[in-house]
Amino acid sequence: MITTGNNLNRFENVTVTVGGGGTQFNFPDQPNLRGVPIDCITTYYFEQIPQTPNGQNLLYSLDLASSFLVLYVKDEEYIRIPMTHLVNNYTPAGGLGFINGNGYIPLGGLNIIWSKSYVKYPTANPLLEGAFMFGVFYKK
Amino acid sequence: MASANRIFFTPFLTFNKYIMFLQNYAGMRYDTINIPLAADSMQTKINFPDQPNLRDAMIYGVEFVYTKFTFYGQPVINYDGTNQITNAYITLYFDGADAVHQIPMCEIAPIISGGGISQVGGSINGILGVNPKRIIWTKSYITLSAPAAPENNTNFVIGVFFKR
Repeated sequence: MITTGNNLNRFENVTVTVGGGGTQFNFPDQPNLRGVPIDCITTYYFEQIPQTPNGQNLLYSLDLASSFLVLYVKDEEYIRIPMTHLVNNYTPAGGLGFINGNGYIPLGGLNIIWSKSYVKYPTANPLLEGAFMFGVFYKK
Repeated sequence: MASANRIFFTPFLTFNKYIMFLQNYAGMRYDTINIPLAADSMQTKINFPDQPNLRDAMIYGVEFVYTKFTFYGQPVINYDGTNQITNAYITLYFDGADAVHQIPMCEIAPIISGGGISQVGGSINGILGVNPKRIIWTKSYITLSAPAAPENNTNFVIGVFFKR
């Protein structure tokens, strides 16, 4: 399903910083996204886009392939999805090269509680440093 | 239509969807915007120049399609060792805010080029639909996560679908 075209309205770039070990990495507060209906979320890895706008290195496709995105709606864990499912960009420059051929996964205007949402990494790795970067399409 | 799709087979089987998707833009005006970047520039924020032709236009879609190897007509910025495209983000100003804030250029690049040094990644979702908006181009800009410092004067080239 393609959800672009005349459906989309706004976009926000969201970064989740990873470091210091641990298996759960929380989203920072997202004032621009508080209480707004979310259309869809996509994600990227180092081999596609090496750095965030602030110059932080993204994590590699291998790290993405073992991670889950957990999104809260109201007080419950509503979506728990492998990060690979959210990749819509192709890179000819190496890495695992996975891509979801269905395009963006529509979220239907969910009101996501960002302060409770997080990225789940399978095992604590003190050497893992960088950032997961998400593209969030939303309406306002 | 089905046989045509087989002829133009893409690795991601998205051609069929893309054709359907492009119907949203059937018969619409199209123009390109050049955002110049000077040789050796260390800028990380590059403002769009004013676009008199688009000042009163309602924008329906924005795409980044032109790299040096997909459009030879003029110097355009190109994926290379400095990752000029992969490290570039676009911000579009409308509705009184940075409404599209730092979308990766790859996210709105529907043409994927995969040969040798011309390799450029792209999105299977193609064009960024902006739900017709009057974009304030003079407040829109490109962010680079690191200075591109191109060898020669060059441009980012953006394509826009619009109506008057």
